[in-house]
Amino acid sequence: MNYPVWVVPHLGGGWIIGIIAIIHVYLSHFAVGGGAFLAITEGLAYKRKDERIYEYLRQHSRFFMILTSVSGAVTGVAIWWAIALVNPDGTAILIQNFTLAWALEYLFFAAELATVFVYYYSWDKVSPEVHLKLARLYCFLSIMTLVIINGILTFMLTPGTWIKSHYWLDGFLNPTYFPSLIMRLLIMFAIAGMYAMVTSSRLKDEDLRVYMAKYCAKWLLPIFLAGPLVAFWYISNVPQATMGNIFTGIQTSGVGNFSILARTLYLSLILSGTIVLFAFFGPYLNPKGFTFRIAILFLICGLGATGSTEYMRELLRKPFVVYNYVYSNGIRKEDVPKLCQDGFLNTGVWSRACSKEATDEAGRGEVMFRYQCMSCHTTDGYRSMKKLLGERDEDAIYGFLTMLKETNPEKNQYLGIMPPLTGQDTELKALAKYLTTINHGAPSTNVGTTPVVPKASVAVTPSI
Amino acid sequence: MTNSVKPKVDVMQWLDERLGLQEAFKFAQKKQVPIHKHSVWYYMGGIALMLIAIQVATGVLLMVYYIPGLEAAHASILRINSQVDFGWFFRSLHSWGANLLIAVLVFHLFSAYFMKAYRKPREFTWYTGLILMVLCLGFGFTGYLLPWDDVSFFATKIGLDIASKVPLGGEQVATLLRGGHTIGQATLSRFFVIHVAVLPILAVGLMGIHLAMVQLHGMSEPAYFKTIEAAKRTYEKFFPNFLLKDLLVWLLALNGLAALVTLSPWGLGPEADPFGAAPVGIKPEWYFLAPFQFLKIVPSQIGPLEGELAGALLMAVVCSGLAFIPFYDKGDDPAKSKLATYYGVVLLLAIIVFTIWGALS
Amino acid sequence: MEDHENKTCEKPEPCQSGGGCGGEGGCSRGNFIKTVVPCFAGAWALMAAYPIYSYLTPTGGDEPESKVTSVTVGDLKDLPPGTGKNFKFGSVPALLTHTKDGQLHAFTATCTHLGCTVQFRPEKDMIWCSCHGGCYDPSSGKNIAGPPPKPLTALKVEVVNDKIIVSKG
Repeated sequence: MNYPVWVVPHLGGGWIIGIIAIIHVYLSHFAVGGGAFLAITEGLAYKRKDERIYEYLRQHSRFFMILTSVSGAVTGVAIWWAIALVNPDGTAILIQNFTLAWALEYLFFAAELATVFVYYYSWDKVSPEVHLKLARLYCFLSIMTLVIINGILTFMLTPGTWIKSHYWLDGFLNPTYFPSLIMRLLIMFAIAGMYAMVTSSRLKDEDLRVYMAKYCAKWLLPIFLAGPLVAFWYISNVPQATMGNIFTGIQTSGVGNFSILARTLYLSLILSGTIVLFAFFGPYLNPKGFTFRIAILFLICGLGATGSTEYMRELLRKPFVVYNYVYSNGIRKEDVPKLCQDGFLNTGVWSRACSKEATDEAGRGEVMFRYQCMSCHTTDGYRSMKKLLGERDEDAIYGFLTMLKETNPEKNQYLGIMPPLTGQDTELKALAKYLTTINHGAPSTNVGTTPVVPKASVAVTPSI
Repeated sequence: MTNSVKPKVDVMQWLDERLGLQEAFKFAQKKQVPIHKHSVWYYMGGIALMLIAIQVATGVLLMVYYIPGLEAAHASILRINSQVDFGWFFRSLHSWGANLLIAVLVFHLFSAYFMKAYRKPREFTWYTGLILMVLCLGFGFTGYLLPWDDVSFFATKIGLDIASKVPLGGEQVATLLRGGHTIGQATLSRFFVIHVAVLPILAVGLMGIHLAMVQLHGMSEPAYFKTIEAAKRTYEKFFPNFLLKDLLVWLLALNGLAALVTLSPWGLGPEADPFGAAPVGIKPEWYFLAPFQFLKIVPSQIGPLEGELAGALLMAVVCSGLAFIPFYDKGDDPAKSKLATYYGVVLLLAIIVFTIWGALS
Repeated sequence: MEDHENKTCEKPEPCQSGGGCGGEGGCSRGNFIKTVVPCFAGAWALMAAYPIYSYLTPTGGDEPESKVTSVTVGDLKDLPPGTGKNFKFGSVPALLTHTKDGQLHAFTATCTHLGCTVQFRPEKDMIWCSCHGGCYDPSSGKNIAGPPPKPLTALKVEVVNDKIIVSKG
């Protein structure tokens, strides 16, 4: 509410972050895992004095360098662009609390990029021993970039003792830090193997191609063996309220927003399982038949698995952006009572200005919508308000909004997935008026019976 | 050889002495797949087989909780969807799997058609395939009624009404299927039996013949492939090479199914009310949209025949072309071969156009 | 580098020879991987099959079994002395007897022998099991004849406003 709001129609700002972040994660995991791949494979080539593997690495490292330093870096910065635009309040908190960590991360990135350039351009200019050392240096630097960003990412889900101490190291080394770190390393080795399969499949020497295909497939062995165990470790440290959401989703009708977390969890598990099976039946059992086309298909599969897992991980955190501290719409949890008492529209620099500009009640309602709802809902696209409002008229909507203001989980079943609505009664009325203009009070063609929210006073027909 | 390997050899020998496995292995080793620019279509049959297996497995699971009685059918599906652990998951696998299966079968049918795999000696493969296609559409039609929600009730009503208009027995067949003159418990029971017993037995039998024929005659090769010099033709062994690639494609298909099931699970409409009005804009499932839309645009009277009847007859004649094609295009006349291809293209385009038209209206 | 050795050796992995050559203390890395991977594969396959098991496991959602603590069986006047009545106590069969001395008794009607449902036989003035002829006393539920090894579980009976109410003992 202290910053202007960026309206992204149909898709919603959240998906701008999501799409960029998913691509970046896929590339950055290749960068880190690929660093380990370069170090270990070059070590293999050095030990066996195998010129063919050196030749392969030359080819592969060019692909690696360009992909990670260009696309990886650009998408990484693009995330900053997206989160600053979509959720400036939340971004501000991350910057202020982890300034030192961000600075360190920047230094490691700079060193990492410098090292990869030196690594590639010095291929035949330095001795094999020095070159191997460069590979190992790159591996170390890229893992350090993971070590730092992992702290901030996991802080958002489990801030741990930071909530009380506000000491940055408490937030950094939080309950999900180590499970997430190990999980991501396992994923990175797998992705490194998958990307390397793409370059391997283009080798002209059949013996080497067959050998490299099998070698790359083995890089998925760590996640095959340890993945489910580490995943279990991670899940057991996730906030308990989230666990409740997951288990609700096992039983309840698949149709509906209450179960989306459980469903994306399943999708992530299924696609991840597929990746491992694909590696086994493809390059491992049939390395001769492993073509470039199959490698690309594999890579696309991997993107699907990564995307669904990142989506699921983000859903774990709802309705917060920093768990139990800041909601997804940028409102701090501790400010909620004050906002309800003093009003929402006259707190916050920008929201106050915008609401003063509004000419009528519906206009003020729109400001309420933009600052409290639009971080997750669009009017007619993703999580469409139009669909969710159904046939409700203004009175029914106002009644629903009053329920959403409740902070008692018995009275407001949505607290598990939505922030409580803040504001005075007049502001809620304005919001109701605005929302009525979205669905015009028109009859909805969606009739689905789903026994969700048994205690709510308003019948809900949620659907995606 | 380490100790762990020896017992395995003994087991194989033991089985072989009793089951004659060596013969089977030798036969399997011979099977090979021609590699050419259209080889990708060879995967279609395998994907269909995998989806059928999923349908059988999820179908059995659903039968544990489904009750084919008027009072209980809808409630039992609702219970599966909302109270049974993972119930919605298996049900959506079944519903989405059915749709994917029919889509894959359309790909399989037309790719086999355009590759002219119906020619001698594969006519029986073609005919069993055609009958299997009809059976699968039958699976779709009968299964659709079982949840007993308003859309399924009226879709079945419309379908049976159309069937009853077919001359020479249509009325009788429709009454037999319906178990009376109105859709009720008798219909539900009959559709259930057809869906879980009659059609599966027929399908398994026909698939057995279909697959046996494929093993017997080998993979069909397109005409241009046969003209390539024998030495230059590339083949890939089925066991294990092509089978492993098959598995990869199956994994991809499973991924697609999983994404559909988890991101867009199958819902359930309100319980059917036989005396209520049909839902506004009711349409059959997409695989029946083409004939549905076609019948909609046919004028109400064509000469002495009622419009719908004429339309149904026209569709039957056109589709029967698929049945007669092995006798028309034997591979000896390039003109006939070309005409057969055009026929297939026109038929496919018509189906696509009418389906899209039906979806948009 | 020609590397002929690699080309002739079937498995070109540097340290994993997959068989018996080399290795630390009799178990080479290749053998270890060959044993561990199938074991894990089996474990994960079981894990993947868990949803089917969970789907098939009845939750007993329809009949809340242990929630029932008391049941109103009927009017006192419908049960004259010397008669008995079978009824449902939650999801468990139960039996109410009105003995000749005017007392009311209730028991769970599951025979302690092999689980059949017992009944009151007025002509014998006995609780009797039709499966193997076991007999129980209609006042105490004690097993007095036949194969049953233990007495029937007693339930509490009260009469409130002429209505017979049975509750957990």
